[in-house]
Amino acid sequence: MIRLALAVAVALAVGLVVGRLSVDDVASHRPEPEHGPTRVVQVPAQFLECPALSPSDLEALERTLMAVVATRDEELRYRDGGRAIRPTRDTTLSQVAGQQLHETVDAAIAVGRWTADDAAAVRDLMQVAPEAGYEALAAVAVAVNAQMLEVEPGASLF
Amino acid sequence: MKNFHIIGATVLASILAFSGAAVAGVKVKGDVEVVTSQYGNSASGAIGSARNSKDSKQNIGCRLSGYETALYPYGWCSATDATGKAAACVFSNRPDFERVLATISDDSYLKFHWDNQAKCTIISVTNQSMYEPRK
Repeated sequence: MIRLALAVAVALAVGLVVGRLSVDDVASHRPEPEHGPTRVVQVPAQFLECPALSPSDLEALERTLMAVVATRDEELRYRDGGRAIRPTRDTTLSQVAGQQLHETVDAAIAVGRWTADDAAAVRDLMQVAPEAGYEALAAVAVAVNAQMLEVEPGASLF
Repeated sequence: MKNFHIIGATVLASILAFSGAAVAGVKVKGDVEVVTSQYGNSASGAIGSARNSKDSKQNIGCRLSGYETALYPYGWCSATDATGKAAACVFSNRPDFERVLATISDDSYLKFHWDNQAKCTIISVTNQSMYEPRK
């Protein structure tokens, strides 16, 4: 019975995480936060009432489910002080564009010169790979501020 | 008598010139300045002054971008002074900066600060009549 209940609970958890079922579909015994990136998933009421699971089992199960959901949401949040952002939708095209972005910036920094063509290329590639674009902008800004990158007269930085 | 007229006209012209200056309002040139020191880094300048400057280097401004595939809007500010000294900073997920940048106009005076990772730490916008508008 315990195994069956746990199996159902795990299946439901997978459904919540992968299928993004509405939290409203399940009963909760705690007030749900109105805002915030990390959603707290509560154990459905029917499992709370299941006599086959002890309170400690339920608490352990709840902690596990919350950790799973929190981890998934955390992957979508800022990492490393906001300098890098996990992409919400990483496509082959964006990966290629991101690679080109880094190559453009690295090449400019290597020669110590930022041209109008570099700026135009970055602007175009950012449309396709905005996450990598942010990182590229930061790298350019650091180099410019350290005066390791001279901006070509008449060229805009970005 | 002729000399009297000339002197009178000169005095009158002077009075008009001074009174004209007095009612024209305060005008400040907001050339772009990039300052880096042990006490902090900042770039500032009036958008109109940079635009209207005689040299081909001065510029200052910020951009805020939102992308469908990005989690948060992000942006940057950059400036170059008359000598070609440039500076830039980036920011992301900063609603406070977004609100400030929404107030920029053609005759704003912009100032931004950054840390050693080129992250913007302060962005301020001054909208004041003394700064020249873009021509």
